[in-house]
Amino acid sequence: MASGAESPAGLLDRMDPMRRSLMSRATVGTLPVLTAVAVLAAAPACSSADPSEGASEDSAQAGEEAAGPPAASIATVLSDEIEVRSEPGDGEVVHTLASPNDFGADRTFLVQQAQDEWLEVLLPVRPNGSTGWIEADDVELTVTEFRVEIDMSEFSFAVTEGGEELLSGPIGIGTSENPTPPGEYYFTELLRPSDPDGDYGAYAFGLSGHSETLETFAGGPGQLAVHGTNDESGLGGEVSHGCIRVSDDDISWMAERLPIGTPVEISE
Amino acid sequence: MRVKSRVLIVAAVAAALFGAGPAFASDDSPAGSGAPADSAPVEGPSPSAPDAAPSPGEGNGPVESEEPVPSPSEEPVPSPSAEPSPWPEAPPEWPGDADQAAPSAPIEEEPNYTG
Repeated sequence: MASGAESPAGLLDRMDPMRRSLMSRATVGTLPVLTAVAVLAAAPACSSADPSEGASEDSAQAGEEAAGPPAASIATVLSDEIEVRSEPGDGEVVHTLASPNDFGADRTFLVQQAQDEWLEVLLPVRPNGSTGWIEADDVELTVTEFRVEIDMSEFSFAVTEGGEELLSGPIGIGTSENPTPPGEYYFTELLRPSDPDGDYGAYAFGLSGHSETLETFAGGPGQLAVHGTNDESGLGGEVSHGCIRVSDDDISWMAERLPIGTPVEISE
Repeated sequence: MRVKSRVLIVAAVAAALFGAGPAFASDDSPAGSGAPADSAPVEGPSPSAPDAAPSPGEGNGPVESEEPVPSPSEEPVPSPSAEPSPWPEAPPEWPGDADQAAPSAPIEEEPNYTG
């Protein structure tokens, strides 16, 4: 170190030794630190892009781990009525459905597929399984991961969310004279009878399907439903005119959680 | 010694942050001035410009312009294959921001279902 010269180094030499030592120590210690900072700043930012792992964790749980079906899309009509066409675009108008429906519920459909600005939807009309095309602009789209799976051979139902079973229980199904037709349906409305101890129990979810043996019933068009019961001894047997009966506890649980438009798969 | 170290440190940091390569070479000019001195005034096209005139070997014809790459025509998205599946496939152009459907309030009506 030069001493005696009126350079910054010389000035440091004549300073308080403690301060000088601190400064020198700081200088010496700062050089590798700053160099390291400079190297790191100059190095290209390397981002280990694995966003798929974190972002798709939820979807992995819903899709891969549980191996469940994709979320269902529900279309709710925005206006007073909606035209349903046989084909997207210039297809023939096959139905004009009012909204709300006969029970006062917003008209909803279960979406099957989309093509441009058109949606193919499951229709609440005969024959069961009918579909048609509606304009996407005429509806509001929502999604649900709830599904109701009914196994008539086991006289049981299960409610799943994202492939995970949340609830299961016994059911009563249609008799051989008035069987419950298997197929894919969806909830069209939720009713609460004035008498919870009546034949329909505490609640009744209307289905998009209809009896294949009864054109009318109780003043209605023979519409199927999933509803409670005042006689749980019938659960596990062929007791109804086509509806699916569940316990009042189970239908109440569903009424609190399942939206209109929830898919319902009835299998033999 | 210390002054040089400080200068070197600052220069290294500046070089790293601003990518000023000449900062290491010039000890005289303070860090931050990156404008090189004009060595020669620019009065016309550089005599060493190779692209000023076409090569005589290639002729004086106009430069052939490459054919523009045709933009791919938009094709309608094919509908998903109809593979047998217990559940319908999710629509491909589904809005990613669709809200979750919520349970609805029950309607106080007498059912007329098949029961």
